Amino acid sequence: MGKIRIRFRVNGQDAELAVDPMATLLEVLRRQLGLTGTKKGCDAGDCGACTVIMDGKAILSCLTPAMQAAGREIITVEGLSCNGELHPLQKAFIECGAVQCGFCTPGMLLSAKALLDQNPNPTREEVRMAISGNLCRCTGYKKVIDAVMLASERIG
Amino acid sequence: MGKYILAQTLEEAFDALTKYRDKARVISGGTDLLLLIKGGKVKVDCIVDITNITDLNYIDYDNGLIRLGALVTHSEVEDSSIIKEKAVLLAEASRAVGSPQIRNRGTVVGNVANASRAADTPLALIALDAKAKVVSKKGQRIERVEDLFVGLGKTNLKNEELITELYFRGLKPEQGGSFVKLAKRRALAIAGVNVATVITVDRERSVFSNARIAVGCIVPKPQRAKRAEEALIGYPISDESIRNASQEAAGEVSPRTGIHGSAEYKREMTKVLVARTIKNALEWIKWEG
Repeated sequence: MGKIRIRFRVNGQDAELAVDPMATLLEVLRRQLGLTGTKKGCDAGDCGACTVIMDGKAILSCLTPAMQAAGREIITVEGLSCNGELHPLQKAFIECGAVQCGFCTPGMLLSAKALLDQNPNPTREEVRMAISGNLCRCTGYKKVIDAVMLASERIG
Repeated sequence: MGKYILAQTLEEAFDALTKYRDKARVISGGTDLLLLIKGGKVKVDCIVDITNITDLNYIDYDNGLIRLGALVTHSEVEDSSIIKEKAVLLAEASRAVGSPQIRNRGTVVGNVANASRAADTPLALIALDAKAKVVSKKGQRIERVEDLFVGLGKTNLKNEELITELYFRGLKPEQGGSFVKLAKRRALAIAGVNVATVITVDRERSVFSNARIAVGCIVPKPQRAKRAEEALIGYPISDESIRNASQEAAGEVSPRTGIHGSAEYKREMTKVLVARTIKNALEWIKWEG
């Protein structure tokens, strides 16, 4: 059984490529599309570093077969900035010092974006719940929550 | 390299399942199956993806009966106003699963079919006396969810069968339910002990008229704590009855020492959690009308 051609949208652009039917979305994003902002952390659904947005929802690209992306809309961290301008969440992360080593940051940003797209004015508790599937190795959760709250004030 | 079939209809899915038999596995959310495949614990020649069979994506409420299609995710259940109102314990159990990202993909039917003894939603379904519609090319059978589980990680589903729907009665005014999980944190944690309870009370006589208590983790498969139920049914609604029932529950489980705690601790926590679910469930009883 060879590769199968699939089409989907990534960061607003059409992508058409032949994928190994057993490949995960994470592998296809990183290796075939060169979108290495999506991180491979545990590769087992525990850490959230591979989080992307699929059809408006935060999902784990390491546990999603690439085949399931067919016909869907994917947003990765590379798709957050617009015309060279960082997304309000990215600016807030920088201002609040919410980035330490940075490995969890892409996943944190996308979990936060999925939340703010649904709920532009979340409570701190709702932010905590939204990023509960994203582990930070540097234990910097408080500043991440501060940053999401700051971004929500600016967006909302 | 295996074959990946994106089934557009149930017929296509059944054709593939019939052809590949024990070498095929059904995928929807994939949050458990992909791990098993990556870890080499499951060898497949064919993955049958049912996520495009959109007819299976519904939460219906009609005449007191709630129906969930096979594609309904944990997120959809936890956000469903009808589930929160009529089957709160299932919303609580769905919210206890994994993380937001996992709940956005993993399905309740998948949680049942995967048959983990630590699974959260099967307990709520057992306490609700939910039934599963098990369908194959040849026809369908209706099975109580509690009867689907036959052992550690095992259901009685055959290779060519699919669970297309789960259904159960919403809770009545004289009923209440609750799900509680003991875990190290509130997300991404596998339960050490989990319990779901539905109680029915006789409001005039102030006694428990029925009880369904389901426990997980500390038993080989999600199952009822029948001695605990018997210790409640017909007894007055009192702290003493609740204490007796939770004591019975602790006596009928078989916890083992492991990464989630010692056997003694888990037995003690079974008592605490069973009592807690009964008390929470009582809060839902509408004493008037």
